[in-house]
Amino acid sequence: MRKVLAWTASLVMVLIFGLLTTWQISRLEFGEDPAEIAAAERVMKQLLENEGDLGSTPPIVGLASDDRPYVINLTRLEEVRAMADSNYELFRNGSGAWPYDVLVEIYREDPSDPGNFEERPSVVLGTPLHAGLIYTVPGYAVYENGTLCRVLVKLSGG
Amino acid sequence: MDVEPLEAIASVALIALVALSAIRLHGLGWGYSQVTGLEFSERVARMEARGIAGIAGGIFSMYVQGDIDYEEFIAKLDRLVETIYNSTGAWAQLNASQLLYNGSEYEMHLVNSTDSPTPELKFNVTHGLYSLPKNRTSPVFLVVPYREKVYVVNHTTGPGSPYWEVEDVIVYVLAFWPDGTPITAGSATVEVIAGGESLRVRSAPVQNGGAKVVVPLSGESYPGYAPIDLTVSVSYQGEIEGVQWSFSINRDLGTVVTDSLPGRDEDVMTLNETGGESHHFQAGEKIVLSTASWELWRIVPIKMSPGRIPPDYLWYDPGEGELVRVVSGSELVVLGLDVPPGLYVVRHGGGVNGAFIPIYIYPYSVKFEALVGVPEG
Repeated sequence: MRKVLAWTASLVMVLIFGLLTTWQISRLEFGEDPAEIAAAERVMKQLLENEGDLGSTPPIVGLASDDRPYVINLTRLEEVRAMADSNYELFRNGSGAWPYDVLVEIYREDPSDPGNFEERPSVVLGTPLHAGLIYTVPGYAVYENGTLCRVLVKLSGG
Repeated sequence: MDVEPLEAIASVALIALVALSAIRLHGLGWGYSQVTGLEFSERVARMEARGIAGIAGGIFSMYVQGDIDYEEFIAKLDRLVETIYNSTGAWAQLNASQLLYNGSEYEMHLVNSTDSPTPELKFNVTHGLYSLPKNRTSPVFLVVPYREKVYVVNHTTGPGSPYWEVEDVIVYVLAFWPDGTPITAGSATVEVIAGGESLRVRSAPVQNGGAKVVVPLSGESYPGYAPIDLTVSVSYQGEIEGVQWSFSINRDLGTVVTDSLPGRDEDVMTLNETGGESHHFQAGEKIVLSTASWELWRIVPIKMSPGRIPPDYLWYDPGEGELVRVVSGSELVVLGLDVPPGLYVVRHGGGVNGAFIPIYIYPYSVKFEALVGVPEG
C-alpha cells in the first residue's frame, strides 16, 4: 500500500511539473520581446545608416559610406567582418546588440538571376544563433558598385 | 506485460504533454536553422519601407555625384522593388518629393513593383530625407572663358595705322568643393597677353563660388597688327578654411579677325526672377534668360564625380549639353530630379559666337517615400 501511495505521489508531481512546463512554453510568443525588437531595429539602423568608427572605444560598427546611408562601403565591410571573426564580443557590443546574440546576413542580388537575391548569404557577421527565440529584421542596401543586397539582422538570447 | 490503468493514463498524459510542448516549440522555432522566413507584420513593413527609402537616397547620391545617369538611377530603383517583390511577395512603391525654393514640394512617382496587384493592405509609409553628401576633400578650380574666341579688328588705314582693337575679355574663375558647395575665399587674377606683352591685368575676389573677371580692352587702340592668338594668364590665390591654395594656368583665347567688332557686349546673361544678374539658383527657381531665343540655350552639367575632373583645376572646354525645361520663351526652370544640384555651364549659341555662363544650382533636399504592402488575404 505504501508503495502504491509513493508511486502515485511521484506521478502526480511529475504531471504537475509537466503541466507547468507546458503552460510556460505555451505563453512564449515569437518576437514579442519589445526590448529585443528595439535592439534588432537599432542594430539595423546603425549598420546601414552609420559610417561607424572601429577605432573608438567602444567601437561603433557601421557599414555606410561617407554621408551615404544604405550604401555599403566594401572596405568597411571587410574591416567589420574581420572584427566579428576575431572578436565577437567586440562586434556584438559595437553593433548595439548587447545583451543579445547577433547574426547579420547579407544576401546579394543574384547576378545570374537578376531580380532575385541569392539563396545563401554572401556575408555573415556574428555567431550562429542557437536559442529558440530569434527575432529577425529585414533591410536593404546597395554596395558601392551598385549591387543590391538584402540584410537580415537576427537577435536571440538576452 | 500487465499495465495498470493508472499507469496507462499517466503515460498517455505525459506523452501528450511532451507532444504539446514539442508542437509549441516547433512553432516558435527550435533554433537558427528553423527560422527561415519572416512574418510579414506591420513592424517588418515599416523596416522594409525605411530601407527602401534609404537605399533610394543612397542610389540617388550615386546619380548626383555622376556615378550613374538618371536612367540608370530609375532602373536600379525598378530592380530594387522587383527584387523585393520576388523575394518577399511584398509590394512596394517609391515616390520622391523635392523641397523647392519657394517652400512647396514637387512630388513625383518613381517606381512600383511590377506584375503585382495593388495591395489591399498598405502597411506603412516611411520617409527618408536625403541631402547632398559632403565632400570637402580638396577644392576644385575651374576656369570658364566667356567666349570661345575673341574678336579683333585690324586697322591699316588712317592716322596711327596700323593698329588693332579687341573686345573685352571676360573670364570666370570658379572655386567649389567636390560636393558642389561654392567657396568664398581668395581672389582671381586675369592677365591678357598679346605678342608676349601684357595688355591689362584685372583681379576680382572669389565670392559664392566664383569671380567674374572683366578685362576691359574695347575702345582702345593697340599699335601694330593683332596677334593671331591672345593669351590669357589666370591665377588664383587664397586661404580656404585655413589652407593656402594657388594655381595659375595659361591658355590661348583664340581670335577671330573681322572687319568690325560685333555688337556682342555682355548681353547674354542669366537673370533671377527679379531681373538681376545671378549665377546662383535653387531647385524650383526660374532662370530668366536675357535673350529670348531660348532654343539656343543649353545647360551643361559639370560632373563632380571623383576621377571625372582633375583634382586641382581645369579649363572648361565646351561640350554639348541638354536643354532643361523651358517654361516660356525666355525662362528655364530647374525642376525635378533630372537636374541634380551642382555646377552647370549655360551655353548660348554655338561656334565662335558661343557664350558660356557658369551657374550653381544649390543643393536641395529630396524626400523619398516608400509604401510597402501585401495583397489582402
